[in-house]
Amino acid sequence: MKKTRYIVCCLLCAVMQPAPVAAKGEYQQPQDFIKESFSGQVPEPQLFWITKQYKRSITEILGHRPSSLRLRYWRRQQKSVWVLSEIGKEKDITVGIVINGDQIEKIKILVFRESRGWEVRYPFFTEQFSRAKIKSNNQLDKTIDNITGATLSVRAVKKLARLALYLSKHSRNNHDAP
Amino acid sequence: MTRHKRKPRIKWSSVYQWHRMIGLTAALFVIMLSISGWLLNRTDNMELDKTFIQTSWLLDWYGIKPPSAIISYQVGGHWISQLGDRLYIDQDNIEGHYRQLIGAIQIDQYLVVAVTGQLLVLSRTGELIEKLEGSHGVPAGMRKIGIDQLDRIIIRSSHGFYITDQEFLSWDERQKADAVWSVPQLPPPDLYDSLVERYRGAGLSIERVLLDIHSGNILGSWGKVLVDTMAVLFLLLAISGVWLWAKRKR
Repeated sequence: MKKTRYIVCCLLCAVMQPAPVAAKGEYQQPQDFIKESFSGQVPEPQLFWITKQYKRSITEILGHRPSSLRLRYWRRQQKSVWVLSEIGKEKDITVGIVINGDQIEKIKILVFRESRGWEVRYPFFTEQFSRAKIKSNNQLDKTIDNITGATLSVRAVKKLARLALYLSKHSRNNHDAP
Repeated sequence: MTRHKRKPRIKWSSVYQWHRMIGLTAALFVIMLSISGWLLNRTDNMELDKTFIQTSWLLDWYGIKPPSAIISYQVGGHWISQLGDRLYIDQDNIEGHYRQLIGAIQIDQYLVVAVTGQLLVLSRTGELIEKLEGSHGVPAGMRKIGIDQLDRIIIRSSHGFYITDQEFLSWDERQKADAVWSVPQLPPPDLYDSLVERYRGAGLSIERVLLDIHSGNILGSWGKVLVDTMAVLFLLLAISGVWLWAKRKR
């Protein structure tokens, strides 16, 4: 009887393969994220020009020069939505960020292209950013816990959170092309 | 009379001989692993992942060859070219990896380059202003890009035509549209040669070579066998070294 039970257990273990955990992938289309953030009523996009005035601060936040001269965002009253990308280790992580007033309302990993570090997409990590603001030195006013083995992804998401808050703060004065 | 059997004693002098031989054999690999490991720990500071090998024989060893096909468009006094997954404006690389170059146009002060899934907006001097994707309204399945009589940008996609303004803030779908479409051309031979050289010279980073040296991958499967053998020798070195030290202490 014992032997039979042992054989059955072995067979069950052999048959029950663990479900592959989704790692890299597109979790939500950016356009769907924008639509969802504005409850279907998406405003016209606006342009943020990265002029000399902002370049230095943005370079400090990102740790490198910005790769483009302007960014697109969507705003209605106090709420603005940013879809930004930053390299984790080797590939871009695309993040959707909703800013309400001067704080983060929501942050979501939309596309993750790396082979590791994807834990950042889970709510246990992204919810840490809820109600985060930036201080005068452009650092977040909250501590965001790291995830072991996902340091570079965590770093990239934190940079984008800071960048979105900075851009939202300055976007009201930024209308003209250089 | 009982003869007591003596336990066989390990000749510590022979262990010492083996320890010395293994040490000498492994010395070169220890130095190589130490240097490559030290450098790899400083990849970010020294930007080894952003510095590329230019040496021909090493590029040949890795089999890095440029693709035979080049796609080019002449626009606004510049050449926009694609080799492999890299884009160039004249001889300068446009950062990123791209699938298929579809076309390029000039509109007012911008150069607009269409690649699969994206539109790149460049200044007249080639500086990247913005990358646009589906979330910005770029239609899927782009096939052609052109300009109509009213100087508007027209995109022909697999399911229709799209007209947009210079800032790409709005998109208008149409069933038909007339435009002067962007057409590929053969680049000048000297530009082609220069791009081929640049393509090869940006394919292999120093970090990659160091990783392959450190793991033995640089010599293929034999390299891995060699590194595994060295790992066993290092273990024997450590064990024999500790044994000799303990023996001396007694």
